Amino acid sequence: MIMGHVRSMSNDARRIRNMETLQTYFRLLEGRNIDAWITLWAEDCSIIAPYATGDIPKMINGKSSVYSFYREQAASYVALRFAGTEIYPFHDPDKVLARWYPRGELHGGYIYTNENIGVFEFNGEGSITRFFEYFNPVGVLEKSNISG
Amino acid sequence: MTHDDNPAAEQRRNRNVEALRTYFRLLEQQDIDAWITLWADNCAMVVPYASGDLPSALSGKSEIHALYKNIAAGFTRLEFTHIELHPLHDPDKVFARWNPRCELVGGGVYTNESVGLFEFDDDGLIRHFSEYFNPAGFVENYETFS
Repeated sequence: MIMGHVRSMSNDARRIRNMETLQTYFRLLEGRNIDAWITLWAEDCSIIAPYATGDIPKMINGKSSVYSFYREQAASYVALRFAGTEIYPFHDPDKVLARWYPRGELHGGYIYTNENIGVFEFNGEGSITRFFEYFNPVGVLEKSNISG
Repeated sequence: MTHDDNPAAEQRRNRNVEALRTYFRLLEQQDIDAWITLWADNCAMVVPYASGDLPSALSGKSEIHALYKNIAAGFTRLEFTHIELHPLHDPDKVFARWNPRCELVGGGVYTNESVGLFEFDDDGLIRHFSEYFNPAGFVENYETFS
């Protein structure tokens, strides 16, 4: 049975809450604050990345695995930006569509860019339960002109 | 702006989802002349992960018609083994996930898992489509399409 307080939340209120969570999600990722970012996820969460290749897994299950993977990923960047992120609520109030354009400065002076699209699914408490992520597996990697 | 409990918005959402069911059915039938009538005259398509000979942007109904006629001519059979249609809260947008399986004229089978965002105009015609697919699978097979 679903708890009464969850039932009483309107669909619009759920949509707004989940969209705000995603704004926080991208802000915390930009700050590479994975310890705060991981609190947005449910314990039994999963990530599915159908286009993943190489060392990037196609599926990650559970909060601790998601945390470990993103800690490792975040450590490879000296800066990470998501300019122009688009967030669209689905009619289903527990799903949000996002499109974002990562630009990461990696150790060694390389710049990584891509265009990603993903579907985030939330539980009744507003935590992320599932995330389908699509990105170009041949994302652009260029040597930057940034010195130092 | 809210679309909750708005019958007009719900009607538009249902109409646009229904248009996409027709869209995939007509593609399976390789009836591109009927399929192109689902698009607005000033439509545009972007394919951010396109590579090789496939363009990353198309503008106008005639360009889209020509490309899909060419692609369809490369298939002996096309089916979508899985289709999901998810309307957005904005009634003029629908997100789709689909798995094409194409038997190619030159032999072999092409498969992929695609996602896309369709945007409709007031008349229920597709005015913008962003398509994403795994370019690794596409590059491997594209030469046999034409």
